[in-house]
Amino acid sequence: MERFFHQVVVWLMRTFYGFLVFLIVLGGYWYVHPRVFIGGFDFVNPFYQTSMAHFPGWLPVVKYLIGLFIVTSVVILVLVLFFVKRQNEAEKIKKQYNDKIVPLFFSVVYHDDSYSAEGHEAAIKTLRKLINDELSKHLFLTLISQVHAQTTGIVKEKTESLFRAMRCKEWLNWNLHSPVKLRQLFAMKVVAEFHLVEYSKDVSLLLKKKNYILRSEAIETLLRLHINETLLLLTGLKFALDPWNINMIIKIAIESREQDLEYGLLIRQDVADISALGITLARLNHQKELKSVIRPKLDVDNVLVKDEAVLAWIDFAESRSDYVLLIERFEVVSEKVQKKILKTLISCSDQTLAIDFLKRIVETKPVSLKIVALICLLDLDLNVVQTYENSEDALIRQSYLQVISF
Amino acid sequence: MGVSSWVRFLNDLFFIYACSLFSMYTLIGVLSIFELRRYKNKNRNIDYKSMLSFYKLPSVSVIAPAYNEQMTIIENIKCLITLQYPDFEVIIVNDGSKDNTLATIIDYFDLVKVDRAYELQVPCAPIRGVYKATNPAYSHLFVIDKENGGKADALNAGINVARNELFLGIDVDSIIEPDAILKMVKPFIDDQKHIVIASGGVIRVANSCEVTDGKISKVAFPANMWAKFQVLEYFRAFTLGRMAWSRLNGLLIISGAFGLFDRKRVIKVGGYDKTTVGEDFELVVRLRRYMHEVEKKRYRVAFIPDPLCWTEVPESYRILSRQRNRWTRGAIDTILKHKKMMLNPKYGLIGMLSFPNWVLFEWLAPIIQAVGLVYTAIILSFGFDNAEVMITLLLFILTFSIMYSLFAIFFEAYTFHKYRGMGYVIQSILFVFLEMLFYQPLNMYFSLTGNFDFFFRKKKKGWGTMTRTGFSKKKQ
Repeated sequence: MERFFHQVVVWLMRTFYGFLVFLIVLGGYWYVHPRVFIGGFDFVNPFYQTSMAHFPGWLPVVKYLIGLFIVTSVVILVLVLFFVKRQNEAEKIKKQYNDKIVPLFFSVVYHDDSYSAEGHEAAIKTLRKLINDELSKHLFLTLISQVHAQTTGIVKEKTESLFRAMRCKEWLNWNLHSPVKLRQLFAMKVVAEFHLVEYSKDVSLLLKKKNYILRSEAIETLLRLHINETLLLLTGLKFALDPWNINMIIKIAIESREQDLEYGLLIRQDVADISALGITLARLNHQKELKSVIRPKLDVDNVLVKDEAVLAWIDFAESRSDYVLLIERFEVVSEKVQKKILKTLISCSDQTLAIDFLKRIVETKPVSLKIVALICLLDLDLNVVQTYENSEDALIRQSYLQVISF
Repeated sequence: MGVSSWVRFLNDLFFIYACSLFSMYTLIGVLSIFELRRYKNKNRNIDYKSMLSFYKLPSVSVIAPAYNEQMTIIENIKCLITLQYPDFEVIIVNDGSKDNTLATIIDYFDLVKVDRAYELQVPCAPIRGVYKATNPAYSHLFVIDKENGGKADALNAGINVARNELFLGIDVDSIIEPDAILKMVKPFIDDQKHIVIASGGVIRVANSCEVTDGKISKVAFPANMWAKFQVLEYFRAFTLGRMAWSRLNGLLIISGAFGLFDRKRVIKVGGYDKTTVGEDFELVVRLRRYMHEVEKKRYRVAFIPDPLCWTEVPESYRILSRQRNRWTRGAIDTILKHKKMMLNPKYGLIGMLSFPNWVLFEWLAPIIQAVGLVYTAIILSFGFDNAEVMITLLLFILTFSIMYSLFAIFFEAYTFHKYRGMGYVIQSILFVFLEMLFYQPLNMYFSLTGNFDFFFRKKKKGWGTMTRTGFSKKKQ
């Protein structure tokens, strides 16, 4: 029903704007024409100025526009006053929320067991009475979600029971099924924080929306509800993920502490973002046994996948051949990954291989890499580093000085 | 053609110019609404602090040139080193200050001179030394001491010494919101379709605001008359103008006081131009040219409407006139340097709309305005035309300007609502009217002198010294 009313309001607004434009055009027409013909009827234009013939042709238009600007200015002024008043009222609600609702909320959530059942009931009743407008409800849901997310044990349980006692699900339903995107976004955040799996279906529906923001939030929420199933769902997505989404997915996956993810399936995907995501998750969850699955990704063209594969290889490197593979791919990865390759060479069992490569970097690469290579060489062989003290290359000497002085 | 025909012709010409100007402003107003709505919808529920634990974020170097800032430098550095971001360094560039700026920083943060290797990738005056704090709490603070070379030169020195992927160029005396870097970096990681080469942010007027520990603790509408005018001006320029150009991906300027750039691309284009006083404007134009001429990839210059940077604006006629004069000279210099872009379809919307807008409605507007006023006076004095025509034209301009300024105030009240109370609203509305009679003509005069100085006096580039009272002192 609310969706229907929302559509009605939207169309009423559109009609209103259309009518306004029509009025403006009609007004302009009336101002510059002595007579107006509508449906075969001939009207004398009362706004027409007979004196206009003595002036430039555009003068009546200008006069009309001046009138329009004045009227618009007055409307804007009224709107300014309206919004300032509304903001002031919101400030008052926020003040009441901070002064009364927040302390009461914490007294309910953090009270010890001596707090009587009657007192508890009374507090909840008072909370219900105080939280009677949309802003307070919004603030309260935000607070209870945050406390729920950041606490454990008895406090977490109490937020859950308070969530039920305050009939928050009613507000949540209303927000989640509202046609207003902002409300849907807000509801999804609460669903995720309270891990309300019963809303999975509703959230899944939002995945199909055209709106990028709704889709992103739906992915995040579903990930928090069912990490593995949602990760698999990503493989069939018809839209690309951006680095923000990827970061969020990694963050949620790591926070979930779920180890048994379908890494292999993700890594093998042709979509670069998903494949890179799978490699990252495998690396961060120390899935060394997936080396064979990652190996082919070291040679793909996509920089994102290649970088992630090399980073995983750095973490899983053991034998000399692993380090050789890394050295061979040094030139084709980003500078950040290059620095990590250099740093990992300290652990290479074949010191000659590592030192020779690091020396090459010191002698041929930009300062930022020279410095990292020299720091690594300091760990491997101080004598090699000292050979650069009197290098003919000023940048190598500078880098040497920086490494020694630090 | 008789005199009256000439008068009619000129009247028509002024009318067409005014209409084009107002159409452009109307377009800006409408576009800014759409862009702000999009931004708000996208970011309202974002928890920026979650970015702090992101796996992959670009590293940032904050570069702040300082020249004779001993009075405020410590508070400002405190503000910068406490910014929220997982991977950033702060580089203060002492551009050969004549006061005790360097000694003050060294003493307070217990700095020692270190050998930091760097490549001279963009031109800058000789660097005398790089300093680093011995206290691990300030391990991300570096101070470069260099010979004086101007702001652009100091920024270039910072770019050379910096190591990170992005750099945030700021005025050291600005107050930056704690989550500013997080918000500025977001466009770099959430745009699927474009390469983001830079992002700019809104600058707000900090005069009369209370500052505690390098952070704005209470926002107040300025007490000083000049600052009040500039608040309105900043509303129009940042909240409306830059938002609208950002919507079109046609933004040509990112304020030198606060802008985040892709460091590698800035190095590729040669860094800041030391020969101009409008180095911020010039860099963005050059970066855009480079993207069109060399990389030829889809790119974007982003803009963040959240008030993230607060700065002290001039509070006297003398300093204001100097600042505006410098801005005008910088704009002309950049326009002339890149005149090739004007109405050149090769540069897409930049060449066909943004650049012509700068030429016609930013550079030439004050000149045409002045000519118009003189013309009106002559016409009326000699009775060449009916006074009604001239007064109507004048009213046309005044009423539109008032409407546009009121719209900017409305926009602020509707969106960020940083200034509170009815007092501010009444004052700002009053200043909208005063501005028409008093401030706008003065601004026009400053621009005219800027034009004159650029073409006839060839004024030297410089820091455009501004006497600052210092936030912390003000609070006492």
